[in-house]
Amino acid sequence: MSAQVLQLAINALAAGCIYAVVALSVEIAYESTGVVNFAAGQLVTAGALIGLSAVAYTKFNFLPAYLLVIVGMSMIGIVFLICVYLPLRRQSVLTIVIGTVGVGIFIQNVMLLTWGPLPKSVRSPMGSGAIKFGDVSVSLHVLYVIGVTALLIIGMYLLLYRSSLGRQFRATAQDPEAATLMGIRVKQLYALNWILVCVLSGIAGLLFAPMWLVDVTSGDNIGLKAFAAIMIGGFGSVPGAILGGIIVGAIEIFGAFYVSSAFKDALVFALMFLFLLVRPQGIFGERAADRA
Amino acid sequence: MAESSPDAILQVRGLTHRFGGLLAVSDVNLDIVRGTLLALIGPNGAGKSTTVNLLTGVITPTSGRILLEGQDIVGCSSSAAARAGMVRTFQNGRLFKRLTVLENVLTGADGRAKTSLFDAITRNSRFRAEEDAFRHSAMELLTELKLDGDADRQVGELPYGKQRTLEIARALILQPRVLLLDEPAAGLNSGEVEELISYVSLLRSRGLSILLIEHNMGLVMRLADRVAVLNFGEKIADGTPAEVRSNERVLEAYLGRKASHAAG
Repeated sequence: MSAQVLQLAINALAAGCIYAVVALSVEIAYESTGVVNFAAGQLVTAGALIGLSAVAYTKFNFLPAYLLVIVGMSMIGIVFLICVYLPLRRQSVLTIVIGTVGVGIFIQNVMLLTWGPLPKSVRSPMGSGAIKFGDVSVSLHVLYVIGVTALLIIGMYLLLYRSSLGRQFRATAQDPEAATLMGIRVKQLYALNWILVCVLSGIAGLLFAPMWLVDVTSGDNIGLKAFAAIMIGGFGSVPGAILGGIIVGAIEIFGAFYVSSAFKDALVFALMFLFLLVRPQGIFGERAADRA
Repeated sequence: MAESSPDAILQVRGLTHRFGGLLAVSDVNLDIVRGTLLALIGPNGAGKSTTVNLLTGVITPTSGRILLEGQDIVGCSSSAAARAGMVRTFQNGRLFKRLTVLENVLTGADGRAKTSLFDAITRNSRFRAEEDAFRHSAMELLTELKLDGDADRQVGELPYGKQRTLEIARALILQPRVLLLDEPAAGLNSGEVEELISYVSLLRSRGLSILLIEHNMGLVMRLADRVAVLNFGEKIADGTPAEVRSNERVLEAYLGRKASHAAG
């Protein structure tokens, strides 16, 4: 019994890590530009599918393949910056948010044309092995997901809070006009922002793909769960996004096992609604009045 | 291009800005002699804020030239204008409230960075040397302004007076050619105003050229080498504090209204 709980907990953590990475990407875009990125789910799928093709192209050399994915996702970020964000920057934030919805639909349809509608299985760089700790068997891929996520979170923390770039990033997020008047090159930072957003989503795609089958819509659900994670953790809080992701993963895995796998999504969104009713600022979120 | 007085660090010629049909700033000429302080005064709505926004590249003038060290900076983006040496503080405080005191000053330094985004991402030795130098000069500035003890505090926690001081520090680290102080005394108590006056005098004695936008006439009269007066977007007087104080048009337009303005 306890071995089973432990096994579920590890799987829950792995699923939660993926939601956390996507939530982190949404959170970064929101913090630095005020834009809620509704294309997150499609970007996750893009990462997974580009990864699939890149791995095939490099004949299962995962490292160069994953570098190709990062380059590809960065290019999507730059195209998004040039074609959507910069032209709409002076409009209301809502206009840009709608823009991200459009970008999501566009990406999804390009993927449908490129990769077709059939679900595909994707291999993990860790293979399909597992290690046994007593009665608990953990797949190597799950450990890899947890490890990569931990590294990403540490890396993002160092970037945002321990580097001059992060300082400029946070300054620009708080007051772009004052940042400009302090001589900060705001456009370069916006470029970095959208590259980070796309690369993080893409990495989430690479992480999730070997666990489930991938088709052009599989990221949609992950994007939605990432929003649930942010609502639960608190909009505007990076630790909240991570914790929210892990909570969503836990509810999903434990809910599927103890309640019903048909209800696992419903449970996640029920908790989100509960938070919206009882604690709309989420676990770590600031109240709207405290910002500004 | 030869209004060549080698001593002028800033020459503004025929600066005009139209908002729709409204002439917010009309044919304004200003000169700042190197190492002196020019005060720009005028009643509310006289065009002072618009002038500051024009000088710092936030808005582009309808016509006119802004020569900083002889270089026309009209059309520069505001971040380029800041890097060229036109650096401002803000009337109502535009610090980054959720950054620490030291980080706020360092954001000013970032604008001066010679290293590229690539250097910053790879954290190479060039970048680290520059960052160390910035930290060093930032701490020096904070020490001079008695803010060193607060270096790691979030700016939002600082008392108001210290926040105003910090804005000056953040602007100074950019090594401005011309420092634009936008109502630096607003909201300060009299003790803090005295400290401000002595610090601004110190900066000028070190050779910094300053444009002071201020409502507090006592402050203006004590600090200014020259005073320019705006009214309805036009410059109506320009001279020493004593000349301006006795100028008929100024008395009528500005000082005459001051009482009613203060009451309102």
